[in-house]
Amino acid sequence: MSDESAQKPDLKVVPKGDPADIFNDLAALRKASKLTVKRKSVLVNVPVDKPPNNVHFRTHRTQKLEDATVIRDKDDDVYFFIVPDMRGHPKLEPRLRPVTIMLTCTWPGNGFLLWPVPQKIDFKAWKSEKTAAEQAQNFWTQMVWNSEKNDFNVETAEKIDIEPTWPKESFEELLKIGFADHIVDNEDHYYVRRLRGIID
Amino acid sequence: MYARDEISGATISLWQDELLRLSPAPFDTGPDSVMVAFASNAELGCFLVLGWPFPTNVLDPYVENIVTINGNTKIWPPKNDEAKTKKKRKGRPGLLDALKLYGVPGCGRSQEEKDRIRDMILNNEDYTPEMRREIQDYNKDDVDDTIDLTGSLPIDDIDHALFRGRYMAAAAREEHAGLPVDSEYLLDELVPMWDAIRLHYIQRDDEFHLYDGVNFVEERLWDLIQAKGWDWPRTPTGKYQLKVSTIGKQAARYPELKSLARLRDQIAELRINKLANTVGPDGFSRCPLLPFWTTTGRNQPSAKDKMFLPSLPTWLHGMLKPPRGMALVELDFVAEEPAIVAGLSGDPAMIADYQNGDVHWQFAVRAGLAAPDAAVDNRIRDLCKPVCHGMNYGMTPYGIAAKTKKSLDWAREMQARHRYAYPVFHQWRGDVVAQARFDEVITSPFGWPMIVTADTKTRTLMNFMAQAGGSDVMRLVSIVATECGITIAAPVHDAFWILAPLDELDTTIARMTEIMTEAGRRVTGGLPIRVKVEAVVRWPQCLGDVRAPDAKGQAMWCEVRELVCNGGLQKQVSHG
Repeated sequence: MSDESAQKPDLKVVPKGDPADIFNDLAALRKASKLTVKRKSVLVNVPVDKPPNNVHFRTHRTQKLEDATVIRDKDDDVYFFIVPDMRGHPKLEPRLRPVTIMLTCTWPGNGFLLWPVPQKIDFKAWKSEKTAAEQAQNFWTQMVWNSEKNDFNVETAEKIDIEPTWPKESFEELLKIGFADHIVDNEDHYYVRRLRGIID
Repeated sequence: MYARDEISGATISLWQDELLRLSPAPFDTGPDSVMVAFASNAELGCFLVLGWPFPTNVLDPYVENIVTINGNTKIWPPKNDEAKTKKKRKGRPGLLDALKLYGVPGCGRSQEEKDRIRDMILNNEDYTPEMRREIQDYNKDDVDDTIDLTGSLPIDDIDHALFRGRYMAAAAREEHAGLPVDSEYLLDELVPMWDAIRLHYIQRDDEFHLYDGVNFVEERLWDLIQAKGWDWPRTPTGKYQLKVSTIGKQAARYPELKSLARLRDQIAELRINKLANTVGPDGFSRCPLLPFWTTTGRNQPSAKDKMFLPSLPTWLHGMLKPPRGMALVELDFVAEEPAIVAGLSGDPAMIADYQNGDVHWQFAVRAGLAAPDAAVDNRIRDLCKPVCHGMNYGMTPYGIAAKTKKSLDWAREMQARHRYAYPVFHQWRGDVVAQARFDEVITSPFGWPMIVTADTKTRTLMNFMAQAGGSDVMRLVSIVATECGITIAAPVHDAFWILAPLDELDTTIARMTEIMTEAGRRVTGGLPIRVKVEAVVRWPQCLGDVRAPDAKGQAMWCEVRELVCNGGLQKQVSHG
């Protein structure tokens, strides 16, 4: 640019004083955010299963239900929760699995699930599963099926340095959501009727 | 000029020679009056040229009309017009468009007629009696239409309307000031040699021989895409998209394209004349700021055949040069958007992280990627930056993975850690979106609204407070600083270029810093936004003289300057 021809802009002396003062006439224009809509996240799904083989997991030390009984329906890949009063039902008894249902957090992504961990250790794979669940109370653990050994490989993560974030819902709420209509508490439950050979 | 006093009905019609003899304005501009003008920054620009004091109150129906339609894509842009013209309407409604939106007949002029008279005014200096009559009618019609429109607008919050008018006054001052450039270098050296410079770089960097001289041959790129089997976005008509931004994005996927992307972005496709068109005889580059042009209320400076210098590649900023006795200073907000969302959400961890230094590094520490006492590792910080930015507007794990070039698992984990680190922020962000959906409108802290429809994307809502809050900050600073007498040469997203006399440099920088910090505090609701002096250029230097050698664009600036000044370029061209 041509320095000689450039005019010096018309600048006034900048007033002194508290910088906040000059905003005083604008302050009333601020609209405080009014968040009146009450938003609540509703938990609608809690998976019931063992942790997938491509994640690491941690189990909660106290949020668990011991001496529970479940039946796994392989066709639909669902777990039914059998209430104590129904354990003696002839159609259910031979299929029962005694388990400890453990709240489990998965990595990555901090997902969570309810894991029916076998209580019996009759099979080595059940024993491994139980061991993995106990170990996961302290360490990020991974469990992968090894078909050659007919057992799970149980390993710990090399470097996951955060603690799990547990859901805010109570364990009872999680159980209700997780099992929902898969709680077998009478012999007219659709699953029992199916086992009885009654077609609805 | 034509003006009408709406109370008394008195009208004023004056020609240029009469206006030049007047000061102040020939109508009441005091606190008991309001000046109404459509796109008032143009009228206020005339006030500045004429040396008239600004009106105390300005009401701009151009802005107030935008307020009523902002975000409502069912109303604007009009689908019928687009179908007729086969062109996408951009920008904001003009006066006739606005009248049409409200079903106001106005004076019944067509846009073509309006354009014809405007061109006649601009293309002549002396007017025949017939021309004068036409111009007077044009001005009168404009005023009558503006008054009719104003009467139709549902202006129910006059305080905010006048606040926006006050910003139009600030924008007029900023447009009037402009950015001083080394116009001798630009106009006498760079522009005449531009094609030779382009050719030099094309010959050097066009690895795939896609140019014929300085002309890009699209078919050659199509052939290349097919030969390489690259996955490439197409236009609605099925052609390959060849925009500079598309090639830039594709270069992230196909690194072989990096040099082509750089070549096109930095120099080969730049039309330097569009910058030269903005430079006046005083050596200042002036480009319309287009206030309130974006849905978040930000400026979007541009004009037909003009380009805003700060929007051009950084190397060209080297030509910024203050006039004699002055300094040009760039002041940037530090992490403006994170500060705004931290302040507005009230998330204690996010506020603490902003106050404790670099927000991206602080997140790295919270996410367990770095030890609390570790020195900043830029590789980790740069990974966290897109995560922090992305979480403001709901970037997906796929987006984060693509940006960081990390795995999808890593991206999901970072999202989870961000939610864990800043739970209050995430709750607030969700609440803001829910409230906006419920109210069918979302409003920035200082009252800039956007209508929310079923078509409004959730991500747009998530990002609104950061962007519109940033826009509020820029408006507050512009108003207060210009009213305090600070010369803002250009507002640039989250920064300001200001001009100051050399002997008042330190006090002006200190004052501007105070104003910016305080404006940030007002918008966030208490958290001051830090300000950094990014550049100080003292006459007779230009920015290219003082910029750090490793600063973005500086190497290219020096390289081009060397080519231009040492004549190597002409040799190359004549020998080529």
